[in-house]
Amino acid sequence: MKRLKQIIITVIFILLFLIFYEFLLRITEIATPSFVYDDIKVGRTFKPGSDVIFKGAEGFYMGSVNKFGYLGKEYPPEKNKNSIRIALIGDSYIEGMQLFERHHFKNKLEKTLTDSLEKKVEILNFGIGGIDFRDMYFNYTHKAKKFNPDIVLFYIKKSNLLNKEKFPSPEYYLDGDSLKLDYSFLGSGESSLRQKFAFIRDYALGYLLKETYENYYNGMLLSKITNGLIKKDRIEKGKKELIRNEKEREIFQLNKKIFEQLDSETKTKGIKFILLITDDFPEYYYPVINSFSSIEKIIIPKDLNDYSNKKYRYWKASGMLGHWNQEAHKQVAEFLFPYFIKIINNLHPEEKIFTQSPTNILLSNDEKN
Amino acid sequence: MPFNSFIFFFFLVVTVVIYYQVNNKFRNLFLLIANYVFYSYVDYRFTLLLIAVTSATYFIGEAIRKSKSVSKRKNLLITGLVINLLVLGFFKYYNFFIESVNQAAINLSLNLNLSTLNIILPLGISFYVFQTLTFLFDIYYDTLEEKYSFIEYAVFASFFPTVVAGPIERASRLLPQIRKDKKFSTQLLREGLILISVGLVRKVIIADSSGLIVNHIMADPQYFSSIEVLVGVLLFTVQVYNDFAGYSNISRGIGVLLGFDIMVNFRQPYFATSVADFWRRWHISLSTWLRDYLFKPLQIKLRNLGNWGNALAILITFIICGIWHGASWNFIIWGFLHGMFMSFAIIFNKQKTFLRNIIPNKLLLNVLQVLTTLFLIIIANVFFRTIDLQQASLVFSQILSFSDSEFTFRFLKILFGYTAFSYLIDYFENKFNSDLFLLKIPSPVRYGILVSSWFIIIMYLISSDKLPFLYGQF
Repeated sequence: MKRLKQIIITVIFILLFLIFYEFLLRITEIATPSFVYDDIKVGRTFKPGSDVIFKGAEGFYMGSVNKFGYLGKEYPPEKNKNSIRIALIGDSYIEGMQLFERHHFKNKLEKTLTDSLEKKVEILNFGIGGIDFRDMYFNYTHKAKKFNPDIVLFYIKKSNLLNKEKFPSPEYYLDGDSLKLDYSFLGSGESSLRQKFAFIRDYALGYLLKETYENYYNGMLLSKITNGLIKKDRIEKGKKELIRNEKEREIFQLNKKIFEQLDSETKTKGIKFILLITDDFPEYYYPVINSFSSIEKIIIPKDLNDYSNKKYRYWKASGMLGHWNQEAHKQVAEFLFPYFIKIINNLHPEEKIFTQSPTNILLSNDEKN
Repeated sequence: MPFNSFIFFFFLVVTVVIYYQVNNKFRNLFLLIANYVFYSYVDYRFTLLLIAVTSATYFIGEAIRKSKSVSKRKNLLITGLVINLLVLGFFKYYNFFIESVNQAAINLSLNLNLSTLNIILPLGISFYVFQTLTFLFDIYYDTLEEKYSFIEYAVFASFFPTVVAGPIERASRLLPQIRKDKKFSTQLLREGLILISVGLVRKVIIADSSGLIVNHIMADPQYFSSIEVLVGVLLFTVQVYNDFAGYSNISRGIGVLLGFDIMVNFRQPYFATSVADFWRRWHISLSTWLRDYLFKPLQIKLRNLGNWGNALAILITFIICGIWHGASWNFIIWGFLHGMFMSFAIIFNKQKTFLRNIIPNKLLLNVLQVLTTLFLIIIANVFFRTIDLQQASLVFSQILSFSDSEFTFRFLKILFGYTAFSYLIDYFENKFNSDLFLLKIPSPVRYGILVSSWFIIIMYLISSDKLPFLYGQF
């Protein structure tokens, strides 16, 4: 009996100190309640109003998800007639959780465009880390579109076009000639597990648990425990390659269909789509994207996509190369500025809102063809 | 092999289990092998250097012991010192020396252009060189009377709990412990695990997580506002203490598990009421080493100058202390500042009485003294943390630019959280006058703290980036 009493008291103290740590983690922001959640309908989504912090080898970010559910400065879904609205869609490069929002290219671009045009330019960031091109399109149709953008920029790297292991989320598939969404993930054990334990994400301790679980889910756990001596890649290399090649054809057809959808949306709704692509964009995609003349294509300078470029990829704090640093974001803003000036001018040729000449020449579809 | 890694936990468990299974006769040989396995984890070539330094120092030490001639003993000591300091100087200071000569030549309009070498700094070289030197000093000053075998000495020189970042043990203190038979007991296990747990709380929960913020702010201060850089500097003060004190706790804990009593290296340094008091509490193994082997001989040489002689001896000692930390002008300035703060205190000793007269309230005076000391340490820390003078001046200029931040509240909240937690641990260590304070509280509370802390430590180690121990690079 005495022993049982002692065990109960010990358990109570363990719980009390876990509560203490919950407070400590929140105050120091070592971990915060999760700022992302798995929405049954729209998959991985930012939680409106939550504080976000990221600190790692690749940068340091502090910010918050605005009440409309995207990162940074908030603009409501209703758009002012006199403003130009640009939606940025992409993965972690657009999300930009490596630097403060004040250094994100969207901020500089928004300011320089607003200063140069007679209209207010609003740039909304819908980037989410770890997503592929199909998810980006999903992001556009289910989130960004509600904010009535005039221009939508997709930043697509080669890896975004390929197959990717990811968390349970709605997946596109082709049903004849039409693009449909597969929600079969909702019935999976993984999905129910995530839904069942979704509540733990509301706690900082839960966030640490979630991160641990995701390391396990991604096959990183063993690597983390053994200090990188054992990696999942090494074990499953052959298998992974095979799946990738099998799936690639199917994914190509899906991506092609999405480009087609974007083209038709430009023609029917007047929304301008820009594909900001990398120089390693697979060659077999060029005939596809070039066949849709309404979609603007911009190739990002090679040095910005060069993973070994110290100027744009180096993080002094860790001595590691990674995502774009502050210098790269500055460069992206300067690079995109003349393109946007020209595109905005072409959106409303009758209004003559173009007040500053673009310094660079837009890479036209004709030139690419 | 970093102490804050699962691979080390595995190594430790295996080592401790086998250590107590091995016959007493072969225990030191096993410990020596474990030391070299641990040390070779990063690069086996470093181990070859460690063995070379160990051998040279051992045989010189034994030659000093055997010699009856005073002058021969002195010459042997000097030879041993020169060999050790040449090794340290080559690996740690050669490039700095060449770069400084080149820069000086440029300033004199000369073009020497001496080339630097691609040298990798061996892990913990400053620590083990200073530790092996104590063997020579202790034999020379006859404080190590017994003769020790090469294996015993090699265990001392490469002792894995201390080889990377101290504490710098004295030969006369550790070698007798190496010779002593050891028996495993649950008391040792309990004490060892508590010390390791407290060390990991300091290292993983406080130092690593705050270090991720500090690293980015200090690497690129130009991208951050005044308050953010200021918080970065203050957080570094919390980080560096918990990183190093955490390491020392873990080191002591491992020592206890293996039946050793490794010296206490920290005694709540941020409760210090003066810079001199700070050095009685901070990195005690180095400060006492410098006191005994450098400051005292210097003080004797300069005794004719009175207080000014003391001040000069302190200044020289601390400049060397700065150089010991690293080959850069920043460390020299850091050492110089500490030396200067203490020299001022000696020269203007009357100020203390003056302060006591104008602030009669003892508590208030204490608080003011602690805050003033902290302020001086924080100023010096900017030089300690930045890589060159340009970056240090950038940090100061960013702080003084008084630029605004939209995250002021969050930064201050983070700073408060880390500082309060760090002080909370210090408070209990101070109250119970022991880093084993957890043993002195009721067991349900102790287990509550240990279980919850290990839960956080394991989750954090899996989910976040680990940082190397700051003093491991020295």
